[in-house]
Amino acid sequence: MKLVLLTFAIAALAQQPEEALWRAGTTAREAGEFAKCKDAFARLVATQPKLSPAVASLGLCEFELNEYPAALEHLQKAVDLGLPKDAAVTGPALERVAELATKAGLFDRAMTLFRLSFALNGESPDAIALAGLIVLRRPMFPGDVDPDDRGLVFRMGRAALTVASGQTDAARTMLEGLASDYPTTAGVHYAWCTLLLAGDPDACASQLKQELAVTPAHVPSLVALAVIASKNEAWDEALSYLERALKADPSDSAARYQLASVHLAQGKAEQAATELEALAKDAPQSAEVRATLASAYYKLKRKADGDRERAAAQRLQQEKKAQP
Amino acid sequence: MRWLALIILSAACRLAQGQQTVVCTHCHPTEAREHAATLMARTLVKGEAAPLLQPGLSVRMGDYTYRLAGNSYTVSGGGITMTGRIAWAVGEGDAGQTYVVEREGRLYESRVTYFARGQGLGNTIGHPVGPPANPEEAFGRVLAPLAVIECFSCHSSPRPEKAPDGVTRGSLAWTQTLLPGVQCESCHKGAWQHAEARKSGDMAHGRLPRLKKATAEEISEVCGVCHRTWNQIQMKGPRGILNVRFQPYRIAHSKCYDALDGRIACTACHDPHKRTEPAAAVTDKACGACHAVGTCKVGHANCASCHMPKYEIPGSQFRFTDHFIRVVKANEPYPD
Repeated sequence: MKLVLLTFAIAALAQQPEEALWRAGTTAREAGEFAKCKDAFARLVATQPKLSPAVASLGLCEFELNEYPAALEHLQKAVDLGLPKDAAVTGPALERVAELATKAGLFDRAMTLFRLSFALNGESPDAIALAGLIVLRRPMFPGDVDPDDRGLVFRMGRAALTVASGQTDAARTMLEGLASDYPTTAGVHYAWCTLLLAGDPDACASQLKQELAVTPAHVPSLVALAVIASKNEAWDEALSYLERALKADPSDSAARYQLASVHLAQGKAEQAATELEALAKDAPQSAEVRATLASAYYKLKRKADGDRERAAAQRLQQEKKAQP
Repeated sequence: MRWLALIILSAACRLAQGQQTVVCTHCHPTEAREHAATLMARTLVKGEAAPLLQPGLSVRMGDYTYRLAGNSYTVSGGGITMTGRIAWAVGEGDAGQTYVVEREGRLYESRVTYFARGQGLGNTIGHPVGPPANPEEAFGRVLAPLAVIECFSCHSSPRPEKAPDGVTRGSLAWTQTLLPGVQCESCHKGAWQHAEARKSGDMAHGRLPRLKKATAEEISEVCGVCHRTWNQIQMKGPRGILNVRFQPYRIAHSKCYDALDGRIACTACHDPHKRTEPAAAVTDKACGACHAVGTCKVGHANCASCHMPKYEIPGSQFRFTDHFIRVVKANEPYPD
């Protein structure tokens, strides 16, 4: 059977090159020949780099070959280009890219992708588990969850979906149960804060402090506490949390951005500009970093630099809005 | 009835003046006195002190009837009556006034707002348009602590002393620890310490940034804490006509905006210590600071009437001046 399919694929190559590559790649994927599938779609993408279903198909083949960084890059690119809702490849592509972003530890992006996937693919055991993993910030695939952790991950995923459906009272009961059953498990208190307490900074801070009691170097909790302290203009408190966060992970973009923002608010524009310049190099697509850098330049009376960064922030934001 | 309203309004002005940081009055009597008469200083009053509520207001929306009188907020319809206590009236009433209502330990944003143009109650902006679908929706929107903190951080000012222990931020008790209205500390951060330092003769530790010398961008950062900065709107929206009310964002689009030039700062036209003056008087002077007479081929006065058109946000019953200064083209869509 495989031989027949491959014969068709080779014959197809002799036809219209792009159409033939599409057919060859699709046929190879259906046959489980992922190396051939990857090769065909890579050649197609080389000639049609903006053909999002082809880019997504390339990513899906790479996923099957366990080439995760390349798969994430291509699937994300396909999402950015815009995938047709009715294309057969769209559902699997969204599911895989959300999983890959989770595995890569890109939880904020993973949550955005998960929402797109959930809206199209609906609920499944894997989807519930993935929601749980994202909220608990565990970089793994749903299939890799340790059997001892499955209860926690599924319950947290269910709580996340319950919040998303607007049933806050039911979600609160679930989260109280989770905090009671897993009081010393990493990520549980942080998840409670982010899922349900965004509108109540004091209650959120209380959960975050409980998280730090469990995981003293929990960077997202430290950054979130610094944000809350900054809103209260408690700069020293904010700086102490950020110091701890950056000690745990010096490369954490959120902590670095927050540190620069605190310095800017304290009038240390020179220091903030230096930090933001470094951050802009590491994260050139962040409109927020460029906008804040513009503010720092204006404080330093560097008008041309400020105008340039503000224009860059506006351009990046427009590009972001153009994405689905 | 109008005379009665004026007498009550005048009493409220005196009350607001009393709320002004009396400490600042000793050294800055003119600013303190004039500021007390501004809309900003009177942007928050206790429910029982709101002049508009004294004669009482009522309206019917679909199946529900609203009656606001004194500090009582009553919604009747669908066979039930819900009552709350108006804790705070937000907004001076020059454009409109919305109410923070307390009911069974929760704070709500009232479903109805007083609109000056219509001289009566209407749908609060941001709530579902049209008649309320159910009693819960009819009463108002529950305010989470963060929403309360955000509302009150612009409509009130902190006192020098810390809130007592046990008072949760964002609660009704917390709102009662604040100074109603935009007061000195709102814009002059550190004003309380400055006053303390002045009292103890240690001015070296009590100097405040000189806003008079600030650049356009620095002033936009101060005003933008409440009126929203370019960064805030650019990053988080809203987009479209809804952002016409965020002036520091809009003005930064103008061709004549120069982040480092104070002649295009908010304060070039708006003296925050004084009541708003007629637009033509202030804007023409500000435009004239850069543009020579005769620059405009169409007119020589009242520049803002052409170059700063007014837009009404649907449902707002108020026409906002667009601070994106430009040559307006006929039938152009709202330039976002």
